[in-house]
Amino acid sequence: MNLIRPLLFVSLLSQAHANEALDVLEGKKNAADVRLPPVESSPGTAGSEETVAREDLIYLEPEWTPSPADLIWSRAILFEDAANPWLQQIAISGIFDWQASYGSADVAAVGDTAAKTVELDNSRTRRARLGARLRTFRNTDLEASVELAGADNYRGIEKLSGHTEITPGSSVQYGKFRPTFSPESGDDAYSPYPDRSMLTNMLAPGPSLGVMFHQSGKSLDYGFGWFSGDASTEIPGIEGNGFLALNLSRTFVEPSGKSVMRTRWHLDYIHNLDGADSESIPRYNLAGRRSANGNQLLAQNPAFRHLVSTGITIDQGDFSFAGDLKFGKGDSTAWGLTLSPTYWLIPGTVQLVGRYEYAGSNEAGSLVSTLGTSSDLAFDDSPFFLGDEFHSFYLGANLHLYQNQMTLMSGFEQVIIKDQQGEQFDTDAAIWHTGARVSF
Amino acid sequence: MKTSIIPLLTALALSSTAFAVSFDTEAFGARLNGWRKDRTAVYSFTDAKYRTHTPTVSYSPTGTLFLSTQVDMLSIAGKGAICQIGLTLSPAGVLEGIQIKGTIGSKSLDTGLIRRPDAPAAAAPAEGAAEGAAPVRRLNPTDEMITELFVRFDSEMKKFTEGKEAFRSDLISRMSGNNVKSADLSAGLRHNVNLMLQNVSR
Repeated sequence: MNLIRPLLFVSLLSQAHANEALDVLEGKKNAADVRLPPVESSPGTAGSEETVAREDLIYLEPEWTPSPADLIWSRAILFEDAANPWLQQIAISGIFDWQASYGSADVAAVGDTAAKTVELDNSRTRRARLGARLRTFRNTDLEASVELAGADNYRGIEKLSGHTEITPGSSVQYGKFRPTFSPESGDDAYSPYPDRSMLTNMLAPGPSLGVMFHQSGKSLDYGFGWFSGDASTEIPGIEGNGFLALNLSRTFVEPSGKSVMRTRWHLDYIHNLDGADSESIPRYNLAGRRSANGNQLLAQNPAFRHLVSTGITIDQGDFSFAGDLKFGKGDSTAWGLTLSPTYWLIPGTVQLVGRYEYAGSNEAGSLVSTLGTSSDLAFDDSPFFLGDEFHSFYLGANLHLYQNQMTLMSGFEQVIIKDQQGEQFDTDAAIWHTGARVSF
Repeated sequence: MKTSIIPLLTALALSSTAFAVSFDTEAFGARLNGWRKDRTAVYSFTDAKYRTHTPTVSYSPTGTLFLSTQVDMLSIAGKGAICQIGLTLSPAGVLEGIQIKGTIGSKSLDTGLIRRPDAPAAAAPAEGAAEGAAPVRRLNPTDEMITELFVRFDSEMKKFTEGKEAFRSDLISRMSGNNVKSADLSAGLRHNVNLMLQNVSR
C-alpha cells in the first residue's frame, strides 16, 4: 500500500511532458512556455556541436616539444629540396644500441646431472647500423643500411631497398629488406624493450631479397609479396622457391572519454615454400649444437612452413598496449602470446614498460632461445637454452634524453623455461637489463 | 565631341587610380624576419617555427585585389601544417573576403569563405592607415570577419586537436626550460593575416 503513492508520483512525472504536449495541441499552453528535457548527446553524434563526427576523427601521434637537440638531429638531413624534380632528399641514418645484462640462469638437477648455474653477465653492442636514404622522383625512397655489430656472419648489408609509390595509397617495395611479421619485426622502429620477444626472434624471417606490394586505405591496409628466402650478409640470391608473405591490418579510431583511442588489428601470414631448406626461416642454424640446459643435442634445426601473427595494438594518450598471438607450424610446432603494456610516467621523459611472453610446444626441445644481452639466436646463439614452455616477465623504465632517439633503459626480467617433454632440465633465470640506444 | 570625352576619360582614369589597391610585399617580409633567397621568411612565433611564402598578388579586371600566401608551421619531429591564406580586397582596399585552407598530415581543413557582413550606414574605410580614422563603431566589419575566420578555423582544428594529447617533453627539452605545451597555429596564422592587412595600401 505504501509503495503505490511513490510509484504513482513517478508515473505522473514521466507523463508530464506528454501532458504538456497535449496542452499545446489543445491551445491551453504556449509552446514556448514548455520546458523540454535536455537532448542527450554522446561524443561523435550530430547532436553535439562541440565534438567532431566519428568518421572525421584521426589519431595524431603526440608531438615532441622543441628541444636544443633538434638542431643536432636535423643535421642528419644533408640535402632537401622539395622543388627539385630529380632528388628531393639525402639523409644519413643510424642506430647504435648497447646492452648489458647481469644475472644467472639456474638449471635444475636431473638424475645424476647436478644443478648448474649459467652466468649471464655480459655487455654487447647489439646494433651498430649506418645507412643512407634518398628520396627521388617525388615517389621513390631508396634505403641502404650496413650492420657493423655482431660476428662476421651477422655483419653486412642489413637493408638495400627501394619503395616506390605507384598511385596514392599503393606502393611497391623491392630489394633486400625484412618482411613484416608481427609489430615487433620492424627492426628500425623504436622499441622500449631490450630485445624483441623470444618467439618473434625464433620465428620472424630475416632480411631477404623480395618484392612486396602495399595498399593503404582509409582504415584497411594490406600487402603481399614474395621473398627468395636466401640469407646473405651481402645481396641474397634466388636459390629455392622462397616464401610468400601476406599482411593485413585495420585501424579503428574512436573517442574514449576526452581523448581518442587508436586500435590497430593485424594479421601477418608467411608460407615458406622451401621448408627446412630455407635460410631465412628460421634465421639461425642450431643443428648439431648442444644446449646450456642439460647439454641436450639439437639434432635438427627448427623448420616452419606456416607462420601466423595476429593481434592488436592500442594507443591512447600516455598508455599503449600490444597483444600478439604467434603460431609456427612445420617440422615442429610452436605458439605463443606477447602482452606488452607501456605507460608514460612523465610524458616524454620516463616510460614504464612491461611485457609478458608465453611460448609453448607439444614437442621436446621445440623452443630455443638465448638469454641475457640478446634473445636473438641470429645475433649470438651461445649459450642457448631449449624447452617446450617459456615464460618471461619484464618490468622496466626508460629515460628519454631526446625523443625516442636517445634513450637509457633499465629493467628486470624473470624467465622460466620448462623442459617437461624433453629431459626435464627446467631453467629459471633472473636478469637485470640496462642499455643505451641512439638513432638518427 | 572630342573635347567632351577627354575630361570624362581623365575623370575615369583618376578615379581608377584613386581606388587602386596595392600590397607591399617587401614590407610584409621585413616584419617576418626578411625574405630569404628562396623568397620565404622563416621566423619563430609563440614558441613555434613558421615559414611564410612570398604572397601572390593578382587583380581582377575591376581592380579587386586577390592576395594569397602559404604559411607552413614547421615541425622537425611531428607533422607540420601547411596553410593557405586568401584575402580579397576591393579597389578601395576594403577586405571583402577571407579564407584559410590547410593540411595537417593527410587531413585537410577549410574555413570556407568569410564574406564582409552587410555594409554599415557609413562608407567602410580602407585597411591600413585609414583604419584609425574610422568612425567609432561597436565592431569593425574587418575585425568581425577575422574573428569569424578564426572561430571557424578553431572549429576545424578540433578534428586534429581532439586526437592530440599533451605534448611530450624529453629530458633535454625539460632541462633547457623549453617545455612548450602547445604551438598555437591559430595565433601564427592570425599574425600573418594582421601583417598582410597592415601592408595593404591604396
